[in-house]
Amino acid sequence: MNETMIILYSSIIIFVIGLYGLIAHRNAIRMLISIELLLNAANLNLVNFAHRTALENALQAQILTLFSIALAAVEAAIGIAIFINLYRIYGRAEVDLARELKEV
Amino acid sequence: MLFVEYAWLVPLIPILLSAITLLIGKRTPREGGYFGVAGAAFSLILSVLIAYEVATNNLYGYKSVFTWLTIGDAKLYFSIIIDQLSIIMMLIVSLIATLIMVYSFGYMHGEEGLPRYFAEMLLFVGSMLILVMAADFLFLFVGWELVGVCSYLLIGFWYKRPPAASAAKKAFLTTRMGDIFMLAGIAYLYYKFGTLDILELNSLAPGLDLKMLTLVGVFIFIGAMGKSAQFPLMAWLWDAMEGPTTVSAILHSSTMVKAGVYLVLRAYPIISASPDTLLFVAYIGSFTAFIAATMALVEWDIKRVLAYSTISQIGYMMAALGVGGYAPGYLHLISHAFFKALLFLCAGSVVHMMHEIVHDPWLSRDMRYMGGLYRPMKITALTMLIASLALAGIFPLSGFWSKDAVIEAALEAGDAVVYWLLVITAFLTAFYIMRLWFNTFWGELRAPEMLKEEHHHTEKEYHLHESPPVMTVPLIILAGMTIILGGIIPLFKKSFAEFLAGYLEHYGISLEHGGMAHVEFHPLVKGFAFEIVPVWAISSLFALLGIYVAYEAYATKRLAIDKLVSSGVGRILYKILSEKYGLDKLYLLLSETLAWKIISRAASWFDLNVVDGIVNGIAKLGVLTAKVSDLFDRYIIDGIVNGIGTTLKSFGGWLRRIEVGIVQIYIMLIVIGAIFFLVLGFFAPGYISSIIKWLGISA
Amino acid sequence: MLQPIPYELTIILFLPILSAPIAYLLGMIKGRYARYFAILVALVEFLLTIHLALAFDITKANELQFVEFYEWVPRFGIYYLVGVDGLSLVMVILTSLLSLAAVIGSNHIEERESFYYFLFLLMETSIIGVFISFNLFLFYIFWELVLVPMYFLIAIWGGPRRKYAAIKFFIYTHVGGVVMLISFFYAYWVYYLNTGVFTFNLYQLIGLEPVNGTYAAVATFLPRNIGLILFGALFFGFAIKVPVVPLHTWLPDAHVEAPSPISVILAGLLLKMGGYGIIRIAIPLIPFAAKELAWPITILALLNIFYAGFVALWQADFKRLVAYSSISHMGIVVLGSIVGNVEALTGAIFMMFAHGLINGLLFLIAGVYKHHLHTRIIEEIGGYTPYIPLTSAFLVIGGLAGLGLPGLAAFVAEFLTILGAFKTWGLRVAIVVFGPVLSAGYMLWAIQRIVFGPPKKPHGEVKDLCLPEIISFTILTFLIILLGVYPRILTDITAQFTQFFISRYF
Repeated sequence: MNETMIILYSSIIIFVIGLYGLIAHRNAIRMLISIELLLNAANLNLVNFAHRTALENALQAQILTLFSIALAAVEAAIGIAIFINLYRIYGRAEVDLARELKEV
Repeated sequence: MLFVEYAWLVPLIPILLSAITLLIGKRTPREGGYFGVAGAAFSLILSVLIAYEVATNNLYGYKSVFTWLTIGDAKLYFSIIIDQLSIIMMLIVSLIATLIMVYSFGYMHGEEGLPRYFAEMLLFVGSMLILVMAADFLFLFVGWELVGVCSYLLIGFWYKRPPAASAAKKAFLTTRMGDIFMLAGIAYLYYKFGTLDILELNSLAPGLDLKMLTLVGVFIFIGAMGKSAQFPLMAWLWDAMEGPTTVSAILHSSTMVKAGVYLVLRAYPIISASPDTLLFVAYIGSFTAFIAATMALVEWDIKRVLAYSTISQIGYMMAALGVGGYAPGYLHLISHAFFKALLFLCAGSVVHMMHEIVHDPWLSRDMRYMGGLYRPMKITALTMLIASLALAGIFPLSGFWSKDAVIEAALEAGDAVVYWLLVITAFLTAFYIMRLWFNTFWGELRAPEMLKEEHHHTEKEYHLHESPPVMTVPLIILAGMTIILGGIIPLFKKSFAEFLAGYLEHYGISLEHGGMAHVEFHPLVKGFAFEIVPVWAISSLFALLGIYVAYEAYATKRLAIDKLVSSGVGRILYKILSEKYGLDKLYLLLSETLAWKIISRAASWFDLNVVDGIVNGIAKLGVLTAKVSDLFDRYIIDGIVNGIGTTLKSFGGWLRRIEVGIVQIYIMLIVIGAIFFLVLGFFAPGYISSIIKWLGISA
Repeated sequence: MLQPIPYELTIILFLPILSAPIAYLLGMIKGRYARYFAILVALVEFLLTIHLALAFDITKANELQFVEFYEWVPRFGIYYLVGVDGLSLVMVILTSLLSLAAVIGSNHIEERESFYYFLFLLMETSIIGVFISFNLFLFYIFWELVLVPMYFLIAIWGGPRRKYAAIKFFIYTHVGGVVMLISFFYAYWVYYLNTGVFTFNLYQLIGLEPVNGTYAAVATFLPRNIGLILFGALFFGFAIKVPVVPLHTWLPDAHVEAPSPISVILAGLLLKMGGYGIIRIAIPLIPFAAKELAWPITILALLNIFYAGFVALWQADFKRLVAYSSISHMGIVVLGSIVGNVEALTGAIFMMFAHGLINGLLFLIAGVYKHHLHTRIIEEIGGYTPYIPLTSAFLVIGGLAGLGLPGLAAFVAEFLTILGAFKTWGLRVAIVVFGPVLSAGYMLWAIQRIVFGPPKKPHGEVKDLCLPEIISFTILTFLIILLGVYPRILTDITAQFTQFFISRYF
């Protein structure tokens, strides 16, 4: 087992943890953190494989990773904003409270 | 300046005057009467001048041609010819026309619509002159039909009387029935020879094969039959008596009805070229002569008797022509024209006066109301007697000579049927005409007892008078002509025949003694007695016999005619004759019942219900198709469209159930989707790459 | 021989349609102004056509004169191609003459006059267009264009059953027009396949005018059966218009329900479009079919003459009687155009003109009866002769003309046609001579019931003809007599044309 594989497995584990956290919990903050975990797992994977390839592609992968981190931050900020509003209305920040647009 | 060059004025001037009279006649004195006389007189004078000129300079055969139309090689002309045939007719027509126009002053005095009368009479004179002067069948046909129209208009002059209107139509239709056969004959000749010129066709037509030649000849003769009222196209002539007597005098006795005879004379080379045609002509002629005379035996309407007489005498002419008696036929035409016109005018004189007594237009013609009119109307009575004796064929009047010539021709030709028919008819003729004379002028006036008036006027109290001179002078002139002709004819018979021969010579037909044309006549029934006895004896015997019987029956009343006709065979015969052998009924049957009620009605029903029914049916089918299309469109096609919409809607509705509003479910779905594609990528990487390519993402 | 005016034909063609809106506007001011203006336009139009006739070279009557040619959609062979030859000239004169007579005779139209004269002028252009177009597409346009104003004229100002009659007329004749158009397209297509050229120009399709230097006639490219069918289709289209029995039933309703001046146009002009079409288009396009089908068409023509004549005899409505007599006379036109000799063809063309005059007169008289006596039923019209002597006199003249009396126009036509028919078929067509007896029968009987007979007392006041009617009647009568006595006026114009036509196609 070489380095790449170790990091790969690690990112998978982190991904799965994040996925579990996203699906199985209602708390908004918890879900946000899980989303961060998902994204960072993907980033980790990206960097991991970038390390193993030639320089030009590696550069692209690292730039993509930076984009991803930035986007994660942005998306977290927006998410927080929405959840703060949710908290204001309902008194707690849980996602299954926002059902007004349901069809069934 | 030759008068002949202006011959075309002879028919044209009366026609122009006719139009003028129609337009301004009302304002002229005598309401156009002077125009009438002027027109006829002009034609007369010009005809005389032309005749003199042509005779002295031997200009026979002078032709004047007007190109009617040309289309390349097809040329049609209006052409006239002055020759032996036409010059005589021109003189007769214009002379009689002038006399009758003068007579009309008196007879038609006080009638309404006089300008119309004189205009129509003038048009007739012009048309008749066209007919006799025509040198090609086209122009002849024009004149032919025009005189037919004038006849129609003049018979229907008293248009307010339904019988007159009906009679006018009957006349036109019956003659037109004959005319169209003539048209067919002419068209066929044009088809074969490319020309309508009579003189040319006279030379060319005998070259046709015999069957077609006979057919053409018969067709042309049928046209003559219609106009000259021969059997069976004769029913119109006695109804034509509804018109004024002057009309009857000119049209239906002396001129128009002779047109048929004239046609035969003109086209003789064509007609005589086939023995069958001649046979047809002769038999129709003699048969007509006989049955018309029989009808006159029982008729009480004075004008109708004369009408039958006309038919009968024309039958004589046709019979003469049929057996080859060219000159005798023409001779009889001429002499008959005068004494028949005279008879009609005298009858008109009588009727005119009777009208003042009886007031009913129909009854004033009924001889049963007359009688004893000799005393007040001596001139009329005497002139009528002269005419009657001429008709009966008594020596030395014109009728004697001409009728004898006809019977001699029949004898010469050798056909027993024709001969005996003509001879017996001579007896009948004498009988019926003297019957007429005796009933009208002999004895006592019967009007009073017939009218059964409360206060019986005696003769003296009726204002019985002779007609005014304007009427009696023409009578005297005509009577004089009859007598004079009687003197002239025997002397000039031979030269007349030679004169006419000049016309037929061009076509290789010679006239032999007695004016008989050298033609092939094959008698149908040969052989008879009395060849030894001269014709004049036979005819005079029969004529005198007829007069005697009439005298005994009607003058002295020793012969009880009434008893004869009221029992047994007499009654049957009487019925047949007074029904005119059913010819009137036949006409009505053919026209009213067959043509109108049956065929026309059927055609109209068929048109309205079947043909139009099909059209309407198609239209209804169209409407039905439209309706079905509409339903189809609305329920099926639109139904499909709506159905698609509904389906989509319900699908959407079902699909909406995904939107549960619970975020985690959404996340779940995302994850599931991702897993799906992952799995797909493992097992079928090709699909994934093609999807990506399709999406436009470069790998 | 006068000098032609530049663009003369186009002026004659478009003058009425361009004047139509003016007439409409004038009519909005006051109804009668539309009428006076329309009469003025019709008069000018008539004078122009007379000038056209005088400037026409009779010796070259078989060639197109006054030709005007503009490209319209050259890619499809659609051109503005107008001209006149002997036949077209005669028809154009008839059109302007009858339009003038009809406009003058429209004095009894009293409502919506502006629209009436607008439609009338529109129609005049279309009819003239039919007669002078030598590009089949253009021809079709004008042909169909006639239908629309006619529909409205019948539907608005007509008699009690006008809606039915107008629709029937429109759809029936339109069907004919469509069949005709399909035939045109087929010929056009075949021509293209064989010559590579798209053209609707008639003279090119029949091979009288070269296309790319060669003369090609459509007929030569058609196998026998197709040619027969195509001719049949063309004939069908025109036969509806003529009309040929049994495709005639639109006519009685249309003629009867239309207002009388419009009946004049219907009978006098529209029917002639059918006859014109047969002579101008159907026969030249596929001559071999015309020759083969000559006998069946002759039978149809005879059927027209007799069947329509018998139906006419039964009619109680005077206008319907005249309508059926129109069908009967058009039988002579068909007969004359198909037998294939100069006499008959001249007779056919002459009959088109003469019948236009005669039945025009009769329909105008019917209009007088309708207006003064408020009825068309013969029984009810009869017996007023003493009160309306002038009308009765014109009726007698018109009736006598209608039955083919020599000295009047129709005789020339009938005589020539009969001569021609005999020339081709001999005694087989002998039955045609009975036609005049039949027409004499129904005409004289109608006259007898109307003019003759004991006079009746009218309910109200019965007036005789007024001045405009007298003028138009007199002009028509004068022409009828003139043509009857001196037919050369017409036959000289058509002589070259007919000779050329027969020598080329028969």
